[in-house]
Amino acid sequence: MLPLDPRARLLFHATAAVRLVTLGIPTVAMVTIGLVVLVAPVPGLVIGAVLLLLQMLFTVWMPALSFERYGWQLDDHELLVQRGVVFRNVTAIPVGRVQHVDVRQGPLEQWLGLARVHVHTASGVGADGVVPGLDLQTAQELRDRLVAASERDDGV
Amino acid sequence: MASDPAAWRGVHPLSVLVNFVPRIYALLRSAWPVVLMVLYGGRRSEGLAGAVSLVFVFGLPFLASVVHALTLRYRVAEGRLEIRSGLVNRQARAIALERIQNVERVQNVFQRASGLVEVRVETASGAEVEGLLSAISVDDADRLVAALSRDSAVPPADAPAPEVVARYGLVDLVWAGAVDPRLGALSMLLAVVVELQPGFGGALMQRSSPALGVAVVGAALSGGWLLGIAAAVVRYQGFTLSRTERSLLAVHGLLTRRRTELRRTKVQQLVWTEPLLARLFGLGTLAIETAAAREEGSGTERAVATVPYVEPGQVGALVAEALPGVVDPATVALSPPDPRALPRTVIVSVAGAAVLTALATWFAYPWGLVVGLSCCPQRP
Repeated sequence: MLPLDPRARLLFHATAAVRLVTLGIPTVAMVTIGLVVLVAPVPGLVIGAVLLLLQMLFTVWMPALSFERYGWQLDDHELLVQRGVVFRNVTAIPVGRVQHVDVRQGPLEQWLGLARVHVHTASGVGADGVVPGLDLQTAQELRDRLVAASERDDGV
Repeated sequence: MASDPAAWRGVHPLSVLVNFVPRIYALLRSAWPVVLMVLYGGRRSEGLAGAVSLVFVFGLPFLASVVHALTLRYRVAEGRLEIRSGLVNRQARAIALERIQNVERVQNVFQRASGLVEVRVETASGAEVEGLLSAISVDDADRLVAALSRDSAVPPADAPAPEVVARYGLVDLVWAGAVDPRLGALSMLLAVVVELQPGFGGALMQRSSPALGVAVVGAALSGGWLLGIAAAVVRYQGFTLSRTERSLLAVHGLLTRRRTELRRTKVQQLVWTEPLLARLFGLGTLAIETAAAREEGSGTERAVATVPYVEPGQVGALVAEALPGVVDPATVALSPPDPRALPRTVIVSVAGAAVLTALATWFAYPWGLVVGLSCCPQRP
């Protein structure tokens, strides 16, 4: 399996930090306030502090583990994508079944010069395989190889 | 070179307007409580707050439409359709031409007046249109569709004319609408509601003469029936199904004109439908489906071309002309189900109806019995 671009580690950390600020901390704050008001101040504050600590540990550790776990590989027959820390997952997509491929860049990815490749087959509503944290050039080459390979086998 | 399909091209500036209305509609449909709260909730919005509210409801969709129009670029190159869009979130989509299930050109009244076309390119993935170009000129659409068909080397004027397989006029469409079961059922339902609703039809009939009630029910029935006819005429006006060497081409529509092209090898199934009313008049519809699917209204729409008016005896000839080698779905000899399927069907149907009937009768005697009767003939 090929690893992601090293800059993806920073991307994963930045994404987790944004998620912590926009979702994690407000959620913990609401839970803490609820517990303090409805149950008792001290247990509420203790539980809130523990939740916040867990959130911060999760934000520090999980992106690094996720980055290490991610991997991808493309051969003549299939695209393999490996991911997941707690629940591990390997997706195999026959290249002859690929319907279309997207290369996407959010603001952080544009800043870091990275891109995500979304691979769509006929089996699902959304993307069936996503390879994040690739160098833009690598992502475009992967897209081109997948689209070129998808022309060979007219499965659907 | 302007006509080079490999050159990046953009959508027409008027696509801002074309996209603005659907975006507002989508916003209102998905977030109407928030919109109502922002516009009318609490104290009436004034000054800066009012301006912010207007920006939220109208400004953001307009800005999104402008960004979409400015950033969307498309081209056909190296055997693929490429579409780029987005400013903050960028996307570059590539679709191999071999993967295209069908290409649809849509012109509503506004687009026809502006000389614009919406082109929809669908693959077998997802539940949305994968390649949506909401407003491009007719010339650009011609070039794009030709390039997608890999006929770009052949000037459209010199291309062989498609061979017409089926064509329907106004009289045919009136018949198709007259036997449309959906609006017929709607009119029946409307009539029953008018009949039973104490505050409306029932009271009206009690206070007035029975003849007036009959007239109301008759008007509801005939109104729904006429609506069905009008809907069929508006949707299928000028229906033509043609074929070329490799493709099928369906053109129809009075207000919104649709031109759908699909490769014959992409057809997944033919569905021959004979609703009760249509069957009594010896008619039915033939739907041609590919693997492209999109969410429309109440469910998933797979039919890319529907022939609205076919007599059973004509289906074989129509299929033979449009899709040589495909069996006639209207007359094919089918194997019966295993005899053990009958008790299974009866048991499942009666058990389900019994539970529903018991509940409905408990809460609303004697109308619950009617519910039971209507539930019994379930599909196995």
